[in-house]
Amino acid sequence: MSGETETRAATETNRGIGADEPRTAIAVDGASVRYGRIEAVRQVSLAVEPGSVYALLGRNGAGKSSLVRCLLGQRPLSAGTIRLLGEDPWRHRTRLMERIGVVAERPDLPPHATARALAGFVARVRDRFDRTGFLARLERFGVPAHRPFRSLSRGQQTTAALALALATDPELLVLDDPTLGLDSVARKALYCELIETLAAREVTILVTSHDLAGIERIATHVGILVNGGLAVEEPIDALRDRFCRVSVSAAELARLEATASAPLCRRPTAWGGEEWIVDRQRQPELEGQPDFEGPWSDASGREPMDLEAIFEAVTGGDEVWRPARPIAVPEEPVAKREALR
Amino acid sequence: MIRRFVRSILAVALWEIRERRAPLVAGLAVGVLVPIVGALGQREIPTTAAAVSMTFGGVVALLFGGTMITSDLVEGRLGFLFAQPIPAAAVYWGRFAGATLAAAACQVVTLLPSVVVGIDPLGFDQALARWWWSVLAALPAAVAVAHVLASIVRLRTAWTLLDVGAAFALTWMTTVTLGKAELVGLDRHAWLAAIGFLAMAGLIALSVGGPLQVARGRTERSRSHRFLTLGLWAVPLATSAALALGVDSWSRVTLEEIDTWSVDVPTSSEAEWIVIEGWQEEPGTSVPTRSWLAWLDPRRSVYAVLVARPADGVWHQLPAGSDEARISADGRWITWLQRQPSSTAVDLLRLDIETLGSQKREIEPLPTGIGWDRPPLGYSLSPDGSWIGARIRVEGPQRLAIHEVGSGRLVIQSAPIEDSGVYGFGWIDDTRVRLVTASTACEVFTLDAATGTSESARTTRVADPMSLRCVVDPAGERILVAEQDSLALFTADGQELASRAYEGGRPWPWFVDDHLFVRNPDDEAALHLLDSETLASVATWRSHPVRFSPVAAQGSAGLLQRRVLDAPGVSYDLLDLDTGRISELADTLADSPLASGRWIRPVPNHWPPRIDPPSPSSERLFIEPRGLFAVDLEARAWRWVLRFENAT
Repeated sequence: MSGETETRAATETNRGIGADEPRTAIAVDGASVRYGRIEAVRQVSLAVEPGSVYALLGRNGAGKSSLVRCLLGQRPLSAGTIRLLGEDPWRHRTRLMERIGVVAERPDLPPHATARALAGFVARVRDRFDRTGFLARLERFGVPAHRPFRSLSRGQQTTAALALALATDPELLVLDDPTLGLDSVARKALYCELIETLAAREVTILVTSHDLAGIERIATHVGILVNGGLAVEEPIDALRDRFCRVSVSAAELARLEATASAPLCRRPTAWGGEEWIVDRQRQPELEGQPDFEGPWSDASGREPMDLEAIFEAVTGGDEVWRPARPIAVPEEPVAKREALR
Repeated sequence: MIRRFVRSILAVALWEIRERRAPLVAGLAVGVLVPIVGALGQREIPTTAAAVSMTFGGVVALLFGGTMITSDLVEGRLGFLFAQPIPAAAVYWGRFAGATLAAAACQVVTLLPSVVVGIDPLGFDQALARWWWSVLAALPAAVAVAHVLASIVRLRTAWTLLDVGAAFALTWMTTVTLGKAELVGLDRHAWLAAIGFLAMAGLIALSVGGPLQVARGRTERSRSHRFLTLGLWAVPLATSAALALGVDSWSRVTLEEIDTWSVDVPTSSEAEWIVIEGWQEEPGTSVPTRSWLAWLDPRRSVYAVLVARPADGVWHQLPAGSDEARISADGRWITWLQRQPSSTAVDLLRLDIETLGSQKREIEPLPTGIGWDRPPLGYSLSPDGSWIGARIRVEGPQRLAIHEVGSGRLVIQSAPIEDSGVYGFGWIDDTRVRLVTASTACEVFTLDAATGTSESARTTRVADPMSLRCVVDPAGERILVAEQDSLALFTADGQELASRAYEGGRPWPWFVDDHLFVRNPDDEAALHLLDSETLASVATWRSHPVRFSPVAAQGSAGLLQRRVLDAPGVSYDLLDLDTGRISELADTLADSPLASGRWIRPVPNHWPPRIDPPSPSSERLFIEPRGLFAVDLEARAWRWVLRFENAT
């Protein structure tokens, strides 16, 4: 064994990572969450590889927070299994939280406590906590450490929560909509901090957010929840390649409608044709159409799509884009995912 | 793991105390104000200081308990603690410990300024000091209760309905169970033990409910409430149910468990039923200490009334709370006083025992329409069960009254009767009830249910009322008045039939059918038989000496039973009136029911009709709750004739 490998192994041992450490940081298999008769999460399966930034997206009520609560061991699954760093978060939450940093959707820091006092408390309950680093990060962010949290702005509270999470030297960061309520400056600062963290050490991040533009900058993988089911789960580059927006002339429209399956979303254009959002993976028949070659090519009107546009298309469009065909939520997620791969 | 748990509890508790420091300062300020205001207002400072300290500590404990978990849970801030490597139970226990210690500190610091200025509230009054320490000791319970109540009120989920339902169910079950326990005669220790068990269950519930709520419910309101509800009510409801089952089981007395009883046998030759009032221990006697846990034995004083027709061999137990059972002479009706839990009121119920038998074992009491705010001084059932005569007291001297059974109608009531010793009370025929009392003379009161008339008579006054003793013959027609040195026989209307002098101390007379016996306390071995018409001496028998008081004689079989209680064992003498022989059976029948220390009863010759009479003429039948047995006076041996089945 080389010296570098030994150092790496020693570091990992110190961080609690052994030779048996699982290859996935987060493994969710067939997870369902029920609240009485309501099934908030339906048969979700996903895998997050170590070192990746996984953006779990979905509209309000799609089941993100329910899934995150299960991931954090705050409630058990109704069905399925979850492994965080190889362990069941419901049963081994205490042990796992030593290795996980959390930023909650709503700031939940004790309102009467100051950051300095809170650092003392966290230092007592955690084996790993960089108090100096925490206070230094707060200072860098301009968050006063001597004022109680209730007197801080929401952005400052979120920043403090992120600083607290990062000071625990986590192997996994779970950020539940951390940009909610933040202004653009605060959002950028938060993303910068995350990027710096990612650059400095290998940490896996699971983040839920409605700030799609911001999250697109750091996410390596994207999962989109629709009505509790995982509709899309792919690396972000593959996702961008999979969906595209095409212009269809009035002349082509009738023929394509007769010969090809419906697009994901469509909207009429001023010149009598339509714009389509197409899932290339699911509509390979369109690729083979000679008259449709044109629209696929960049020169013939194909437009690359950003994450926000893809998200809107996948989750059902908006007032402009009419969903023509809802994207299928896999009934058997495991088999479906395997098939997609 | 344990190290982490302890470390987490300490960290959370310290954090909780730190968060609660503001009331501590307020307590100190209040404590400073007490001596100042007390001095200005000329009030008793020690009492005020202690009262303020207790009140402040209690209020703060309720406040802290109500907010220690619930506020964060409702406001969605509990997730912070669950995002730390803190065991879920440590979250509850840490906050509980912190809140309790902070509340205790508030109580102490409120008292502190008074102590500093030289006032010692706890040394001022021992009772006050006990109260202060009691409140301090109760703070943990106050914190836990406040937490539970706050959770139920503030979480406001559907589980609140179950909480309310469970609270009602628990209250109802406990009330019914303790009421029944009172009725079946569980003694005070057992009753207190039942309360203690319930209190213990409450503490366990508080200790389980909160931690379970946090450990299993974690950060979700509904789930949290669900586990609080389950943890909170499961133990008390289970305990209450167990107590209910236990009391129900205790109330079903088996014959083997009854140590002491009295037997009532109908006088009619047609009657077959007997009534037994039984106790686990003889009331008023000291309980032998079997073990240090003996005081917990809930059955030490269980009281039960059982009825049976020996020919069927089946016992029926009257409902819990039955008392003073009477059986009509014709053997058809049984009446009893039915007590109610936590009430002095009683109802008279009756049972048609012809509806019972070996097949039907459930009894169906019938109302009589008769009830009293407090139990009557005594009552007697007429031979055919149509009326009852009752000695009642309503704001003054007692009265004798007749009620019609069924309608409850008051048929007739006597004028007030001077409170004095009662020497005879019962029905002398189908319609007349008679009461014989004595103060300076024997007085006879007779009510007639058929005519609705009342009569009274009295014998001549005696010289020494302190030594007066009246004895009424079984028919209620003759009254023997015994004084220190004389005996006189009267009719029920006060006419003297005979009299004689009696030497040797105050005589102790009693009737056995037409036989009149007299014993003399100065000569315990002598038993005199007098002529019941002329009071002339007929015979004198002698036996070994027995103590004066515990002599009894029953039965028409010409058999006298003498019972001695103070011997190491128990001794019985049997006197055969035909032969005049006194037999001491204790040694030879050591293993017989006679020697078991229980009350036994000779059986009339005709009874029971379906049992063949004993073949040797020297055999005599006796009854005790386990069955009928025959004693052969010649052979000095005994045998079971019939063993009763225990149907209860």
